[in-house]
Amino acid sequence: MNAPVVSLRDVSVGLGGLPIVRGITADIRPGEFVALLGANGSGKTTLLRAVLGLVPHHRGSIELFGEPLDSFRDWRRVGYVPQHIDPAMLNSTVREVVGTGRLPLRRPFVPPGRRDREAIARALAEVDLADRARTRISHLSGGQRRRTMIARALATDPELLVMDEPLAGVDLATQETLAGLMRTLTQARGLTVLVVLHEPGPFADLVSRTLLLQDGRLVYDGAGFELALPHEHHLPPEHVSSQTDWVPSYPTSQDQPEED
Amino acid sequence: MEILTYPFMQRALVAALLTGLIAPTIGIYIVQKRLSLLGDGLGHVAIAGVGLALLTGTAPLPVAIVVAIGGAILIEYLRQHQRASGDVGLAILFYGGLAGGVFMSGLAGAGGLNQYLFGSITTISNGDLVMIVVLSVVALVVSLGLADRLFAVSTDEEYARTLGLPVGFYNYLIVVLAAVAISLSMRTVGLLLVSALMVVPVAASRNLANGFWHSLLLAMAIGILAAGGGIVGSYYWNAPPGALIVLLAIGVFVASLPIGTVLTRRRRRSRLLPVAEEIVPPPHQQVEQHPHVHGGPDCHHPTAQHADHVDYLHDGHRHAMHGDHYDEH
Repeated sequence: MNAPVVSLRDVSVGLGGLPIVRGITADIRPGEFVALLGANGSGKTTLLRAVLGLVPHHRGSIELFGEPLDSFRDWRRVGYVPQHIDPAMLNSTVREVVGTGRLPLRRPFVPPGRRDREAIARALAEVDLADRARTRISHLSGGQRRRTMIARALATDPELLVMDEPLAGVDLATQETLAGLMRTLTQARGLTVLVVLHEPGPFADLVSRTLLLQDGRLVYDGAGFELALPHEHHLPPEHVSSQTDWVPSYPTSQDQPEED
Repeated sequence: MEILTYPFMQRALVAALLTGLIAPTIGIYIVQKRLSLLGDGLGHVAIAGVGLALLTGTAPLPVAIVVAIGGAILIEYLRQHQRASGDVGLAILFYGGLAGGVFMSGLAGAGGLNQYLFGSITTISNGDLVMIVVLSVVALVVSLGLADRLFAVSTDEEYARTLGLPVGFYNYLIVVLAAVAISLSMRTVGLLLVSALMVVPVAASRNLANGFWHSLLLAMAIGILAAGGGIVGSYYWNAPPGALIVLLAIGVFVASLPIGTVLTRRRRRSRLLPVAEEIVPPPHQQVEQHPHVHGGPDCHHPTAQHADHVDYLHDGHRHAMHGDHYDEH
């Protein structure tokens, strides 16, 4: 039961000949909520993409659920929430986009069945978008689009949820809505979460473990944020106060316009 | 309806309705992938196939299909493997197709290339029709049966990869289906205009429909309407059917613009519910009294840069100086 969900052994990734991720070793165990922190260019998103097989790793080994990435086929156990919405999906409805999450569980040429419809309805209800199922993505706010991406990942009924900067580009109130959502979700579904964050924000309470990357190397691996915080280089300057404490985020969002 | 008693008109109508049905079913993925001009290019490549057939004295349709599929695979390979120079590579392939086709048909001494460029209702043989029907049914079954998967691949390729879908295979499948649909349309719409039948009905239906499936079905309906109308019109006006088909489709597109605006406004209005994320800026809160001036020598409150000013932290909140008073933030 306690076998690692993600197992990284000396993983190095290069993009265009440049080393981006260097020699990362870490195991993520079931039920952990792991934040991958680091400055821009620290390699956190590249490492995430390597875990998903979207970029090849040049050295070391990556295993998902004990299976080497190259031979891993059980992708329904993994739910991916990308940072950006592909503009090609703007004309589709929320239900259609969320429905693509069911594809690993469906056979070609067979229309979706009752279980697919139930899983989609459940995912939509969990992110509080049940009343928007027939709305086009282009008519949604930034926060609703983010929740659509989460519902799409949930429709797969995953065990591991992989999220790329879910807090980027949405206002503070939406960030807190997302944090509340994630708290409920991880408990209800018993999810293991690997999330890339630029700053912990309202997710700070959820995170059980932090991996801090600097120049592609793992410089901190431990519980929560408190211990990682002395490395203040990864915090944007507007949040660094004269205190060393984390400045709590305020639910006023006038300084952070909604994206799009 | 006496025109339906002519066998050549019956063949032309069946062929046109089928191509009107298929072209948008595949075009919808081409449009989503923002490859709207791919159809044009494949049409040019198919012209080389027609030229080759005229030169060798074989049936144009099968040769055009084979050459167009070969071109489609080459184009997709270029797109997947060398993105940087792909643009120029495509352009050369397209011009080469058209030039090669015109040159080879000239060598063959056949003056009939025009009928393949803009369609011709009188030239569809029984053999052509059988091939059109069989391949149309196959293309329709594949594109509709795999619609969910092709939709996922064409809307979010990276996510589709993380679902474990064979994204590369589906990308090839889309362009091969496009090559088949284009070649089948050469007798009705013609190879120079067929791309419009893949793109314009989809563009029109996207203005009107809500979502992918809705717009797929509507695009098929618009395609059938334009193709059928174009064939009948070309009989009466003795004009090349391709031109009429495309003009009809564009007419529907133009009409869809104002209708779509009204529909969208109505849909939005029916959904004007309170949105949880809508942010109301906090009221202009002032602090009544303040014992000292922040930033002065006796101030020990921690500071935080907040947009264009400095906030001072105390008693669990932030505030900043605003003229002669402090605002709570």
